[in-house]
Amino acid sequence: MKDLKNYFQKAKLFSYQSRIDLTNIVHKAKGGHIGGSLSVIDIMSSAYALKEIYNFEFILSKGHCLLAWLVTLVRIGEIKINDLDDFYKNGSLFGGHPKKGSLRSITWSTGSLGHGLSVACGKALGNRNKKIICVIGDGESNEGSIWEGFMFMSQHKLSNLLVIIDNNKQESLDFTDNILSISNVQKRLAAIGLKAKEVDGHCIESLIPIIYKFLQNKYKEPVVIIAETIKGKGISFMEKVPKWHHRKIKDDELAKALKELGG
Amino acid sequence: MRNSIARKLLEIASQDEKLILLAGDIGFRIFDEFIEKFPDRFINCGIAEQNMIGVAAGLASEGMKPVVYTIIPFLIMRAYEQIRVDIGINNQSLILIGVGGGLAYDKLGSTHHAYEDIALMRSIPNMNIYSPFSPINAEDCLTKAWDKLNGKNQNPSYIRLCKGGEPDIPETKEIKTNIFLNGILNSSKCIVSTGAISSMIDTHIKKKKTSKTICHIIISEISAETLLELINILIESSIKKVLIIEEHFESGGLFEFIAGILVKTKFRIELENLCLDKKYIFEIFDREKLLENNGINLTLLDKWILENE
Repeated sequence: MKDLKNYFQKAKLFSYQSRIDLTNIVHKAKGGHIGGSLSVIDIMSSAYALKEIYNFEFILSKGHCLLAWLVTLVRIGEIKINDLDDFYKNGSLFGGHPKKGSLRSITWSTGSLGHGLSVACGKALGNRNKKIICVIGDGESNEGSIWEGFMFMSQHKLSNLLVIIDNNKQESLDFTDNILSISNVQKRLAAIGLKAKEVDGHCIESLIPIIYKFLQNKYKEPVVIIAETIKGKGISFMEKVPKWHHRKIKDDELAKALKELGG
Repeated sequence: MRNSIARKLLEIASQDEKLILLAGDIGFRIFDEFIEKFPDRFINCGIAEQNMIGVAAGLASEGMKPVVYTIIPFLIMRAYEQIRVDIGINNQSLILIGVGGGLAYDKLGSTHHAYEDIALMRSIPNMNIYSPFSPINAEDCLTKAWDKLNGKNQNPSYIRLCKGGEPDIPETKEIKTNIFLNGILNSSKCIVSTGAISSMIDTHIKKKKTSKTICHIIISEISAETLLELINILIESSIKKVLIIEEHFESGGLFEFIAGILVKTKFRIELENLCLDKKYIFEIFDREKLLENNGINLTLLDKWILENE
C-alpha cells in the first residue's frame, strides 16, 4: 500500500482547523448541531484528505451535521471560510441541513433521518463505477429504513458503497442505549451478511487505510465501518453530555473550548 | 389494468434501456415476461417500501428511469415521507404505479383500501397524478407519464390503478387531453368521474332508461390544468349542474379540487358529489356492495338525474 503518512497528516490538520471553525461558527450563529459535528469530523477529514486522488460522492444521511461537512469543504477549497459568515442567518445558502445543489459536493438534500442510505444504495446500483460514501448515525439507526437499506446493500452486493456509522452512542435527549440500543451492531450487521469493521472513529490512521482501500476497489464485498466516536469530541465539557446535541455556545464557553482545541 | 400496464412497460423497456422496474414483492405473474426479457432491469425490493422509494430516487439520480410498482397503501402511505423527501424535495423523476385504488381490494380489508392517496399525492409539488378508467386508458396514462418523465421538466408521476378485469368503455372519446366524453354534451347537467368506478357508472347509466340522455365525462389526470379545461368545457356547453363521483374520500379528492378551481373563476356551476364516507371500512363484501354501503350508492345517481331532469 502507498505510504499514507502524508494523508494522515493532512487529515489531522483538517480536523484541527475544522473543530475550531465549527465551534466559532456555532457560537456566532447562536446554535447548531455541535455535538454530532465534533464526533463526525475525523471521519470527514479522513475521506476528504483522499479526495485529491480519488473521486467519490458523499451522502450525509445524518444531515444535521452539515456544519462539519461545510468546514471540511473549506479545507479542500470548495468554499472559503468567509462563505460561512452568514451560516444559519436569514437568506443564507446554508441552513441546518444539506440542500442539494447548494455546493458542488452536496448532491442530496437530507435532514429527515433514515433516507440517505437507501438513496446511496440506489446510486451504487445505478452506477457501479461510482464510489459512494454514506455517513449515518447510531441514533439514526433507530429508523427501520436504515435496516431495510442494509439488507438491500447486502443482497445486491453493493461493493462500491462505503457506509460509515458515526457511532457516538448518543441521540438528542439521551444515550442511545437508553433509547433504542444498537449494541453489538457488528453482530447485527453480520447477521444481515455485512462484514463491518470496528475502528476508533477519531483515529485517522485507522480510518484512512480502509477508505483508501475502498476507493482503490480493493473490497469485493460491501463495506461498513463502525466508527466508535465520542459526541462532542475535543471539547471536554461537551463530550458525552447530551445537552450538547444542539445548543448555543456562550462567550465564556467559547474561550474555554478554543483553548482546549488549541485555537 | 395490471396486465395492460405490464404489457406497456415491456414495450417501453424494449425501446429504452434506462427503464428499470422495482416491485415490492407484488405483481404475481404479471411481470413474468418482463423478468424473462430483462432480468437485470427488474428488482424485487421485497416488503421494504421505504427503502424501495429511496433506491428508486437514487437510481433516477444516476440517469436510470425507475418505475415502482406495489399496492397503494404500501407505496403511498408507508413510504410517503420518502416520496416527499427523496422524490419531491430532491426533485427526482420516476413513475409510481399503485394498484388497488379505492376499494379494489374489497375483502382484503381496510388496511388494503386506498381512499386517501390522491389527496396525499396532490400535496407533492410537480407530481402528476393519473387515474385511468380502463385497461386501454391505463396504457395511455403510462405513455403520458413516460413522456413527462422524458420531457423538459422531467416530472414524476403517480398512476392509480384499480386491479384487474376492468372493462373498457368503447364509446368514450378523448375530447381534450385526459378528458373523455361518453354521450353528447347536449343537456344542462353531467356526471364527472375518475378512475375505475367510471365503468361501473357507465354500465349503470346504460341499464337505466331514465339515464339515457345524461352525459358522462371521465377525467384520467388529476391536475389543475386538466380540471380548468374541464370547467371550460362545462361552461362552453352551458352545463349548470354536475355530479362528481370518485372512489376516494372527499378530502383532497377530485370534487374538492374542481370546487377549488371553480370558485376562483367568475362562473357558477352547481356541484354535488358521491364519494366514500370518511371512515374506515371493516365490512367484508365485494367492491360493489362496499361502495353502495359507504357513500357511493348508484341509486342516488338515479335520484340526482331524476331531480334534475
